[in-house]
Amino acid sequence: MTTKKHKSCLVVDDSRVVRKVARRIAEDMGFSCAEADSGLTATAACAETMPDVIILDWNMPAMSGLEFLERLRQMDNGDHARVVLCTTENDVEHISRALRAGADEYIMKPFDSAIIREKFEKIGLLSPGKQ
Amino acid sequence: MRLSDYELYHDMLKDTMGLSLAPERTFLVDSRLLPVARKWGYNNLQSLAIALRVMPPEDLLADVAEAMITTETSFFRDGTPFDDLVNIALPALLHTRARQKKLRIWSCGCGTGQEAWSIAIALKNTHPQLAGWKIEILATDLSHRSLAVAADATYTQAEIQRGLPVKDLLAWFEPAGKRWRVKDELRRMVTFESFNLTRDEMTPGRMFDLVFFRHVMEDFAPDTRAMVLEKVTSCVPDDGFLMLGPAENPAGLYEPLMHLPENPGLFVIGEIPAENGRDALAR
Repeated sequence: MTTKKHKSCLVVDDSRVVRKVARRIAEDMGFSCAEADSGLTATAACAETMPDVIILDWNMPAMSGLEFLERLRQMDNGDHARVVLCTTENDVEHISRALRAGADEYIMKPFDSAIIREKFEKIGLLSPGKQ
Repeated sequence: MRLSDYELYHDMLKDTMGLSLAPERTFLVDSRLLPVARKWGYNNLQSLAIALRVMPPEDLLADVAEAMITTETSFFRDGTPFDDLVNIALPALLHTRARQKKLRIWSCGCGTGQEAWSIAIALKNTHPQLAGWKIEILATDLSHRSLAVAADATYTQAEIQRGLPVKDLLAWFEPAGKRWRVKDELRRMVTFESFNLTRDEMTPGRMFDLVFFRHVMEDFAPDTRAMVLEKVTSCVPDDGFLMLGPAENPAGLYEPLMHLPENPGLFVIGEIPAENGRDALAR
């Protein structure tokens, strides 16, 4: 008997509610999920086990999502994780900065499961149309 | 809803638009038609049904039909068809149309325009050798309301995020307040027109090298599907391509269509392209 290995997802957001919503969405898509409430916690989590994808909030106290992302890309195996940056900032400058820092995709809040699913498809984590 | 009212809506949609109101979709009637009823001053669907029985104005019929059309859409919907566009159809057409340097594409049932823009973006991103070619993308729909949105080419944050990679957002859209507007370079490639597949005829001789006809047949009554499929296919030359939705099968509807091996949504007319086209397909 073989066990199907789930892809892993780390949800990084200082809002417990947002973490819960994003986690539920990712779990419904078959991901095994962990949560981090800050960039520092997320750094420790990634050092222990690098996830396949990170849903990352931009605006967090102490360490912003962007700072965490730049740090992540310097870590061993830090290029493995696909990063979807989530924010309410939707201007060209913010989006460009996110891409330059190493984000694979960008979600403007509010988001829903359809948006996350399609972003995951675009970065090769899901097959199109897979439910 | 009374059975007789359901039958009225069923028959009206079929007679005027060739659209199918499957029994399992009757739940849509309440949610979609109540706003139409209120817009026209009726308190409920029974009153609307009565109005529809006695020489209803064309605008009311159009509102009812538009409300019942499936409008689900997103950029690069289903993914694979756009891979097939880029990797299969375009290389073949680049070869067979090399002399004319002209490409005509029809997005039939374009809704609010996302498919047409996705085609234009795919062409721009992947085939720089098309620079200098004349590219015409015709996008048609039955719904005037959808066409108005499509031609405005301005989308909300929620709409823009449905399927559009962020790099394409930056490359091909510009901010318009809290929304995003398609850049002029893409807008010049696409023309939007109203087209009712059951009533209108394409101008004789107006042909398309590639037609996207996806998620449209499912809206039509079974006995209308063959007619509309043949009408669309008649605008595709033998060395052109037809793209259907992933669950749409023309078997039994229009036999000359052949799907390409391993590309179940992509069809050609009659036979797999011979010689040059096949060589291009093999590359």
